[in-house]
Amino acid sequence: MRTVFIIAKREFRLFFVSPAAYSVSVMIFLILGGIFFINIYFGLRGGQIAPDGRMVISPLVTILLFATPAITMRLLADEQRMGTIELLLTSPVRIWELVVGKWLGATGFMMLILGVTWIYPIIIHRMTNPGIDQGVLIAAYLGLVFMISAMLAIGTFISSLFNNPIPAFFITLTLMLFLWIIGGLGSGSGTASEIASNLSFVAHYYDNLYRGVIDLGDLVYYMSLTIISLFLGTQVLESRRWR
Amino acid sequence: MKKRLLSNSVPFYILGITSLLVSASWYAINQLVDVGVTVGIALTVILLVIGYAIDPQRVKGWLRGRQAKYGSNALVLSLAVIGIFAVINYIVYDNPKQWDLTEDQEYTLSPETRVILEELPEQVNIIGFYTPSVSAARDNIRPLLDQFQILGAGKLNYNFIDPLENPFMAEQYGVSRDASLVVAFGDSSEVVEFASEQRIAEAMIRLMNPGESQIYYLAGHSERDFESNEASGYGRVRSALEARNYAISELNLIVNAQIPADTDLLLIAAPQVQLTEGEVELVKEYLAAGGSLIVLSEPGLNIEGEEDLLEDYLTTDWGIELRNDFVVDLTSSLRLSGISAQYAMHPITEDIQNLVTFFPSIRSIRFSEMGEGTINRVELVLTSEQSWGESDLQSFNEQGVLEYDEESDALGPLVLVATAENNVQGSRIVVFGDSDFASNGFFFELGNGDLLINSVDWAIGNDQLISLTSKPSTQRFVVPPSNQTIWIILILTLFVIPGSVIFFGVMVWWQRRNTR
Repeated sequence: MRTVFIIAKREFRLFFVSPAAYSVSVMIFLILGGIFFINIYFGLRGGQIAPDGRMVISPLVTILLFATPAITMRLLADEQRMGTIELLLTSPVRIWELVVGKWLGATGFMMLILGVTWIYPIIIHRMTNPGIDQGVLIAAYLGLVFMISAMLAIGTFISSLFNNPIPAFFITLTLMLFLWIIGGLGSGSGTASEIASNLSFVAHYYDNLYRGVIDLGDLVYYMSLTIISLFLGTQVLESRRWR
Repeated sequence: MKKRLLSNSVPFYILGITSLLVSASWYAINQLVDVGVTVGIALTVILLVIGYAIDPQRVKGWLRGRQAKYGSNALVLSLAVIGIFAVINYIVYDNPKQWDLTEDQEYTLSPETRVILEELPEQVNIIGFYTPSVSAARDNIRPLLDQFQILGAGKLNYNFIDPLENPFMAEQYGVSRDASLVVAFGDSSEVVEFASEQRIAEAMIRLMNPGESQIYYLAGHSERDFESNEASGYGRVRSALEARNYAISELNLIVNAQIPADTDLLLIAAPQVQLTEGEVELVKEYLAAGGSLIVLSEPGLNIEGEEDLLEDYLTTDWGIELRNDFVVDLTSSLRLSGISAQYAMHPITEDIQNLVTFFPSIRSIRFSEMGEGTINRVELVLTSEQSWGESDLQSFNEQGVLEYDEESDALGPLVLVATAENNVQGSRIVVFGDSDFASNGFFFELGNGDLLINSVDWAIGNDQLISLTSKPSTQRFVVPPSNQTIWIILILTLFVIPGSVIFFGVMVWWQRRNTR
């Protein structure tokens, strides 16, 4: 387990010298800041600002769809491109430790960004009398933590498949878009639609967590996606030994 | 060349498997083998054969050798892990557990509903009939139904059905409006429109305590026909009432001069001929004993100079006078219709505050002076201020003149529907100046049908069976920030936060450049 944290720490630090990570975070903060300010400004003009701390959360979820593949694309693909993966595979590091460490480092970085976005609800909270509903906010952010973990794990898995970050980015994006829109197939009725809507990445977030209700099923869904993806990533790297 | 071909067989396998997956999901969604599925499977076979034909050695290599051994191991292991998690997810999905973090416990059922759910004697099914076009409403009701299911502890299940896909099922349960729920309990069921915790709980109470309410509709004066499916008939009223478990039968007081003891409600729907003195006497006695009555009138029914005994009774005993006019509103798009501009706060109109009702040709109602008494009257539906009650039917019929006459015409807002309740006897009446609005032709228009059905519920006393503990609802409002604060927010959100990330990035880049 210690190895996991060492790898995670190294990976976390690497983000602070990565131009991609900086562009992603600047993009996130610029878009969120813009949306937040427009909401406040025009809300004032219209005389109505919703006393809701989740103003930036739905745009954030959409941005994450594009941001997480950019964060994860080079995690394992770069190691394979540069050949450093051979070094890692022959070192006493176990493969799952490597995969989980890489994922944990990326998760840590995204959590830092997520932590900064807390500033928008705080501003709304200070302007609201008697304050916003903290419970809803906590559930919404808890959901984001689980959702981001799952997205990053998927990205890590896809990154293990490629020697080049660019296809890793696009395949991750495609896969996430697929999980995004699959809920739309569930608008009908019947078992298949039920399954489709239960696979949906967004429905699991917006149906309960976003409303302020923590549903065990949603958390288990995201955790399952995370663990399965990390497991598959480990299997792919493992396969380098006999391919 | 050999090498190129080698790598070229792989895309065929990938495409083949993709096509297999696509056709499998297509089949899972449509549940039938159509052209798409057939083509997909054919394509899969063709692609796999081409892949094999280009490079048979590769397949042979896969099947033998080390790769096959390790590869199949990894595949089996991965499938096992995915399978385990699928099972875990299914178990959790079947046994939901939720925590409501909202400050006002918005998604937590009230103690009264919990008691009902704890004491469910047998399996209850809630079926939601939602077409895909109202999937947003369906998603909104889901958390509430989840709560019912969790607290029902295995005795309550819910599922959604698309009435377009399954029209027979919708018909079987008597569902007529999109986005309705059906609470099914043993052999009986009840349709719940405007789903809410209150409505579902009430339906459950009614189903758990059967004992049908009996409605009689008066016949013998060429009233509205409750068996008729023509546009002017009342067949839809009948089926809507039956879907709510009311028993409804005809009553002819001339043939059989008594109102049965089991009568819960008497419906008088636009008699074309006046009721006899004896009949009105029976109605009077019935109401004095705590009965319930709904009267639907129609303009131009009573001939001037002739007295209508039923209307006289309503005026003298209940203080509800039906004027001899018809409501006109030239500013509206339905000029000769009474249109609801305002509802009273009343159990009947609680659900339909946002839904207009309109009455093609309607008489207005006046509350006559009555001393402080035991009768509690409510002006249930009111028209707009621009409307008036045209009393000169003759000149309108002959010349089509519509003019407000200050002397004889009453100016809006006019009362279209009134309710009254005798607090001592417990009798309740609802009086409508119109009967067309609930006929088959107009029943499903806007809130028309709901207004009549809700009136029946209220008159019988089948509403408000349970009063749920009201939840505190915290009122929140944003105090508009000063201009200075707005500037601070602008600078902070658009410049300081992104700016500091850029600054930090440049600093790191500069440091690394110098240390190199």
